[in-house]
Amino acid sequence: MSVTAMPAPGPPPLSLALRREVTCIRSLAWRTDLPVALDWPRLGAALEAAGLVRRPPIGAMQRFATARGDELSMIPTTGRIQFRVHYTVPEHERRFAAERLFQLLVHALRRP
Amino acid sequence: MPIEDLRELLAEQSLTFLAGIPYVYHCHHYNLFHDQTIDDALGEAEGVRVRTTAAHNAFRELLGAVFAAAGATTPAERISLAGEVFAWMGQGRLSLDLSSAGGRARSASLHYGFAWREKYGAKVKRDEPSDAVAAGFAAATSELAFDLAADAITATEHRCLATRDPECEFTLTPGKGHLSRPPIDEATVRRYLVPAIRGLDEDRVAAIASGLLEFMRAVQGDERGLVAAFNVFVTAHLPSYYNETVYEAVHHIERTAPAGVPAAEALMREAGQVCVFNTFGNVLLSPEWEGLVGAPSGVPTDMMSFCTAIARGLGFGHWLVHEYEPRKRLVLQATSNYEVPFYRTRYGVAKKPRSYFVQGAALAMMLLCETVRFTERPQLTNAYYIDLFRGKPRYRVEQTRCMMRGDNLSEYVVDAL
Repeated sequence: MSVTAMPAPGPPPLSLALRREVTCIRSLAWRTDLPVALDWPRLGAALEAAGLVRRPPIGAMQRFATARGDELSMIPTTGRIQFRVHYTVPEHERRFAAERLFQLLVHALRRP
Repeated sequence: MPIEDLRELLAEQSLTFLAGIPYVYHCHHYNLFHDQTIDDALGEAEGVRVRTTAAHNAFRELLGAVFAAAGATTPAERISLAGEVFAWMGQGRLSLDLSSAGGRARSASLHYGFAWREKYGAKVKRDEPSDAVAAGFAAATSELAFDLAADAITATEHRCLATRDPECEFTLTPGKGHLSRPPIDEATVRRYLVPAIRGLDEDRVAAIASGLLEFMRAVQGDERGLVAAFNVFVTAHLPSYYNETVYEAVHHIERTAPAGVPAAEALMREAGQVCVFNTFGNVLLSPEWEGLVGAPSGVPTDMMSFCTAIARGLGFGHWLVHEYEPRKRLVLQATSNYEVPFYRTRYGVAKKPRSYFVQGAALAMMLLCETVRFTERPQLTNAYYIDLFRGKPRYRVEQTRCMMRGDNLSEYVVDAL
């Protein structure tokens, strides 16, 4: 899945792709990458406004979770974003769960 | 008393304890491979028996210490606390219905069964249950809850997630009873370590290891008693379980089929390889690592330092790099590891080096650091593992010093062939 997102306000559009993460557990972890030069605090606030709950950070890694336990992690220093679907989600539904997280991120980037 | 308050850290040796009993962290890839290794070495029936007995003994050690530290005296208190400890460790959440004559246990989320189904379930049909660790835990809980002798209760798993049942189920019945052995506790561990020494890149290794140890302190089972971190399922586990299974298996083969000893030892070494490839590899590629340390550079000397720090961070002991020349030679040393205290206490002084886990780990560290292109985000698949470790050998490992044999530290030399 790939989309073009316009991070508000102003900068050029981002082309984002959702890819399977480096992981041995089937379809649980997915990834996209953002530019390091981004307004990360604003993005974090937008994710919270979208209903994600901020969890304690791990070093530079910021974590947000859905009510079901799916997680979106972002590392501003490298731009890496990981979508971690909760392990109770059946395998055939994991990609869709990851895509929903990805769409949340895209909407958060577009949020003024 | 919160379970976290029962943790202790012997920082200079990177050793971790719960109520004075050592514990380490291992991922599901290693745990499943370890158990398969024991079954391969002994045959399935004997393998299950040895694994269940080892878990039983190990959890008697742990739970006895936890109950004493927490002041848990009634059966209800002890059964409840045992379940919380098991879940805290990431082993799963087990419902226990116990009496002094036995009882039943069941769970829809045990580490071994759940992880086996995740890893192999789509490709492999399994006929035998996978949760010897939970069976041993349930038996130990039942005995200690009702102040029964060691092995007064036997637990058998007869339904399992790994065999496509909706839940794991265990039956606990009266056992034969046997003499309990002295626990491998912190005092025992301290008898079998030597003062920590500095290795190459020590300051960086120590700083990263310290950060990892701190991170791991916050890791605990979720509402299902499982831990998903570093792209794997993680457990806090008991070295006594790993050690008893490995050394009972190897000694059994030494007694009954000596010609098979080299093959058995190679299997035990391979478990160390699997740990480094999967656990260390997944840690290095995880967002948690990237958040704590940064993206892996892929430079072999960096990666070797990182692997050493990961070993310390998981509570494996004070590993250090004494000498490292990329693509030629690695001399890894340890002033403590989790194999030595068990072996010396249970079996006495070894006649030959027997630290199989670290032998395999050292060889794998050499390969991982020099071959895997971490900056290209490789998939650590089974096919890649086979390509890396089962192709034409590039290195050999020799343990040149062993604290089990009475040497002043343990040393593992990896040389290019």
